[in-house]
Amino acid sequence: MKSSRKTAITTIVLVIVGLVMIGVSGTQTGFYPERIVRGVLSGGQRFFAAIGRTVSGTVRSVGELRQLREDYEGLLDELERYQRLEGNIAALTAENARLREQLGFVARSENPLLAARVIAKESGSLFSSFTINRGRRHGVRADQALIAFIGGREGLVGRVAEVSGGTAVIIPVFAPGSYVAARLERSRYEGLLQGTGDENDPLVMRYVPRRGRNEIRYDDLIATSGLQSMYPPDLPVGRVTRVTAPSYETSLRISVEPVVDFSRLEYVFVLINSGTGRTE
Amino acid sequence: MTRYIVPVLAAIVAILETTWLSELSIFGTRPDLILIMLTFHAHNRGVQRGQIAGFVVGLVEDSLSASPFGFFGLVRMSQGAILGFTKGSVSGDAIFSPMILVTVAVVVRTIVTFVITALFSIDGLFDQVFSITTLIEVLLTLVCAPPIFFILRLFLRRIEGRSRGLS
Repeated sequence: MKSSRKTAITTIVLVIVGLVMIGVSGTQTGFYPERIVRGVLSGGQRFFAAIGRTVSGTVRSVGELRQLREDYEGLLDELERYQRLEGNIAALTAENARLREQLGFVARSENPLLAARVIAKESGSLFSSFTINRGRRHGVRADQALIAFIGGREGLVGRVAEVSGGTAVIIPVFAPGSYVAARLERSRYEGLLQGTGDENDPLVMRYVPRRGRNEIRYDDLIATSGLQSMYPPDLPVGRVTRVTAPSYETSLRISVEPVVDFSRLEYVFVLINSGTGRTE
Repeated sequence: MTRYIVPVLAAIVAILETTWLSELSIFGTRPDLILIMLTFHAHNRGVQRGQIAGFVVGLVEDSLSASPFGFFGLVRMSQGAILGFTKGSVSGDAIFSPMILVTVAVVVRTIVTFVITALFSIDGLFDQVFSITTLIEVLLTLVCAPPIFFILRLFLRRIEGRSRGLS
């Protein structure tokens, strides 16, 4: 009973205090008791707000770091892609230039030519052969001659040895057992060019009379003579690098360097109208 | 000491609602967590402690908001007083009892708010009391009541068990 009276008194007191406070605070700003309570609580508010800022700032920083890392990795990937692209563009530009050069050569040529790309080279050095991406389907026949155009110069490459449907195996002029009837362009001496397979001395011209020794000079151009039915005349083959006259031979021995740089050979042209007409 | 824990927690929640939880809202409103906590306290401690705790926590809310000082004091005090009568009388499952108690608290809050608004001619509050936002807030509060009751009950049991062990 005493307890319920105490409760009732408390209720009445609180209601009155509450109503008075509402009434007073409604008429004046900065009500004193409110200022006191607010002053006490503002410390707590600042405390929690600071913690909240720290926590949210840390969380945000972690999120930003994660985002930065993702962006960084994404940019690295992109950079790598662009670097690859740049490499591809450089390669394509160079290839384009080479193709343009080849195209110009084809357009200028009087003989019908079939452009082909070197797609494989013999792994061993026994025959020094290589393979092109044109074959019987494209009109390639055995013994047809091939020329190349590198650095503004055309030169004899070799002949077709074997033909399949889509590819052909080529024997280059410097291969052992390769022979080309040739002529010295300036002195007009004729001879036979023979492949040695030796890197240092790839071509040797034989059967040039000894009397011509004084007329033959270093760097003289040697071209096909056309006496051999396989190769058309006047195709540059090489240049003289050395002339010797062995006492045991009746003719000169002329070392020749091919005009075609076989180490850089990418594209060749098959002379469609050349060859012996041999079929496999 | 344990008898003051829930009101102190409610006061802390009132401060947190102005700081950490200020950005948190569902459909533009938040559940009335203080109402749930004060309802729990009044239901467990009775009228006297319920109304005093409600009045003090209400004043804390008043000082943190733009309401007339004493407005929430009276609202929360009324809730505490009315819900205090349920001490020992409503007991049952962990889901519907909290929801029923909170429903009563919401009704009391609405009536007292309406009366004070009318008595002191406080502009703009009348529409808010009967708005969709308030309805969503009530629904959210009802949904939140069972888990909060459960957590507070567990928390109090732990604290009381520990203080008994100490004594």
